[in-house]
Amino acid sequence: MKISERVVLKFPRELVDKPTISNLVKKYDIEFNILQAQVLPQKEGLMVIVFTGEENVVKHVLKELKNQNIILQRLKQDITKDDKICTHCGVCIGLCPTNAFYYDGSTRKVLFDYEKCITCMLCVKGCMVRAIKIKF
Amino acid sequence: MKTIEEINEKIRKGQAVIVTAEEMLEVVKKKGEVKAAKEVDVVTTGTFGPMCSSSIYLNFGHPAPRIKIGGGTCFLNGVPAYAGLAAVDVYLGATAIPPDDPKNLYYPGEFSYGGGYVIEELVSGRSILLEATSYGTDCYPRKELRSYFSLKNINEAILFNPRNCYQNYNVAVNSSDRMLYTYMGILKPNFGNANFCSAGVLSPLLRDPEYYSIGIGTKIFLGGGIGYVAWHGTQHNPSVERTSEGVPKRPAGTLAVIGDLKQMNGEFLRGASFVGYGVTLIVGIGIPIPVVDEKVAFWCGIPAEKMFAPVVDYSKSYPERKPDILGEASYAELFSGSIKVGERTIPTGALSSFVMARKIAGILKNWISSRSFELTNPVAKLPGKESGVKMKGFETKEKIQ
Ligand code: SF4
Ligand code: SF4
Repeated sequence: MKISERVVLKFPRELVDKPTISNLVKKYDIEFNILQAQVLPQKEGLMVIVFTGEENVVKHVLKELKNQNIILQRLKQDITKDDKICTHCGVCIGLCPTNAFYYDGSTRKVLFDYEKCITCMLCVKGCMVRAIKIKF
Repeated sequence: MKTIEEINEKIRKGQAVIVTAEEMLEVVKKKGEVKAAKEVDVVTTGTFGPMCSSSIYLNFGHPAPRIKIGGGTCFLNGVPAYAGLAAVDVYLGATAIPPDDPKNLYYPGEFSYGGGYVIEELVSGRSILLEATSYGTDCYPRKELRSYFSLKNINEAILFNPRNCYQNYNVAVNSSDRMLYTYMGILKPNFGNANFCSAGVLSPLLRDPEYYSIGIGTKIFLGGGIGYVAWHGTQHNPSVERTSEGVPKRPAGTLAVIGDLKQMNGEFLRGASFVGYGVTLIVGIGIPIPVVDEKVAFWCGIPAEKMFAPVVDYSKSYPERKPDILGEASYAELFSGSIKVGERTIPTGALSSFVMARKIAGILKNWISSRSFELTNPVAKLPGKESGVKMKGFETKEKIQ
C-alpha cells in the first residue's frame, strides 16, 4: 500500500552538508517533497518533508535516517478546514508559509491541501471564524 | 436617461435587465458605457467583511411584574449590553466582551466570545440568556430578571450599524520584526503578508464612487434580509484623493445601515474574533445601483486595475496615526495573490470574502428579477467630495480651555 508520511528531521551539524536525502531517494523507490527547510552550512539543520511510497519502503527509509543520527519526529497533529464554517475570505492564504491554502480559479473558493501543511498553527489563530481546527 | 420609477415599472413587468457588478464589467468592456446604460437597468453589488461598528437594539416586551432595566445592568449570554435607555430597551455592540474575558492578559488573547456572536446566535433562532438587575421603583418593582429568550418571542430586534461598507480600505503590512495581532488580522514580521478588506469590483461604494445613486433611504440587502441606508456612516470621508475617474484612493465613504433583525439570516451575520484584538461581526450587504444614465455605467465599468488602495505599515504609521503610506496597490494586484511594495513581493490575504460578496450580489439580482425587491429614490444625498466633510482626528487636551 502506498502511504505518505510527514516528518520533521533535525540534522546534526556534521550531516548538514551531506546529500543524505538524495542518496536515500536514489537507493529506494520513494518520492519526497520538502515543505520547509532551514539548512545552514555547519549548523544544525531542520527540515519538514513528506515521503511517499510503499509502506514498507517508507518505514525502512525512516529507520535508516534514524540510524544516521538524524532526529525524527512525525507530524501527528492534523489541520482540518471545516467548510461549513469557512467563509472563503482568504486570510489563511497570506499566512500559510507553505501555500497549503489556495484559491480555486473560477469559484475563488479557498481550498486546503493537507499534504503541504507543516502544522505551524498560524492559520488556526488567524482564521476569524475558527474554521480551521487541530485534530490529534 | 431613465428614472427609478421607469426601472421599477420594468421590474414589475418582468422586463428589467439586472446584472451583477461583475457581469456589468464585461458588458461595459464589450459594448461601452453608452450601450450598456441603454441595455442594463440595475447593477447589484455585494460585500461581506468584518465590520466592528455593528450593533443591535432590542425591546424585550415587559415581564410581569415589570422591571426597569434602564439605569440598571443587562447581560446577554454574559456579554454586557448597554442599559441606559427606557425600561426594556437595550443596546448591544459587536465588540462587547464578557467582563471576565482575560483579554490580552495572556497575549495574544483569544477573544472567543462577544457581541458579534450573540448577534449571530440570536438571528439564527437560538436561545439567549438575559440577566438584568435594577433598583426597583413604584411602577417597575422587579429588581432581577433571569430568563431565556429567542428572537421570535421578543417585541423588537433591530440591526443598526453606525459604520459599514467602507468605500476602499487600507492594505495592512508589518515592517517590524515581530508578529502583530490587529483588526486587519495577523501580520507577519518583515512584510510577511499584506491583508486587505474590500470586495473590489463588487464593493457597493466603489461602484458608486461619487454617491450618485446610493443615499439616505436607499433600500438594500442587509444580513440576508432587507435594510435601509440610515445616514452616512461615522468617519465618512469623501474628500480624500481620487483617481481621474473619481474613485477614492484612500478609505473614504461609509454607510450607517438599519433593518429588522427578525427577517435576517445567520449566514450573513457572523460573529468573528481576531486573536489579540477582539470580537466583531461579519456583515453581508448588497446594494442595487439603478443604471439611470451613462455615468452610472461608466463607474460600473472601471476595472480592478484602475482602483487603488493605500499600503499602510501597522507596526508604526497606523498605531501612531501618521499619515504616511508605503505605496498603493491596485485591486487587480491585491486579488492576484501578491503585491509589490518597493522591491518586495508580498503575498496578500483578504479579510472580505469575495465568494460571499458574489453570492449576495446574485441573491439581490434574483430578488429583483423575481419582483420581490424594487428600487428606491434616496430621500437625501450622502455628503460628497465637494461637501467639505472630512474625518477629524481627536486632539487630546489636558486642561479645560
Ligand atoms: S481564514 Fe478561515 S474563513 Fe477565511 S478562507 Fe481561511 S479557513 Fe476559510
Ligand atoms: S498550520 Fe496552517 S498555516 Fe501552518 S502550514 Fe499548516 S495550513 Fe499552513
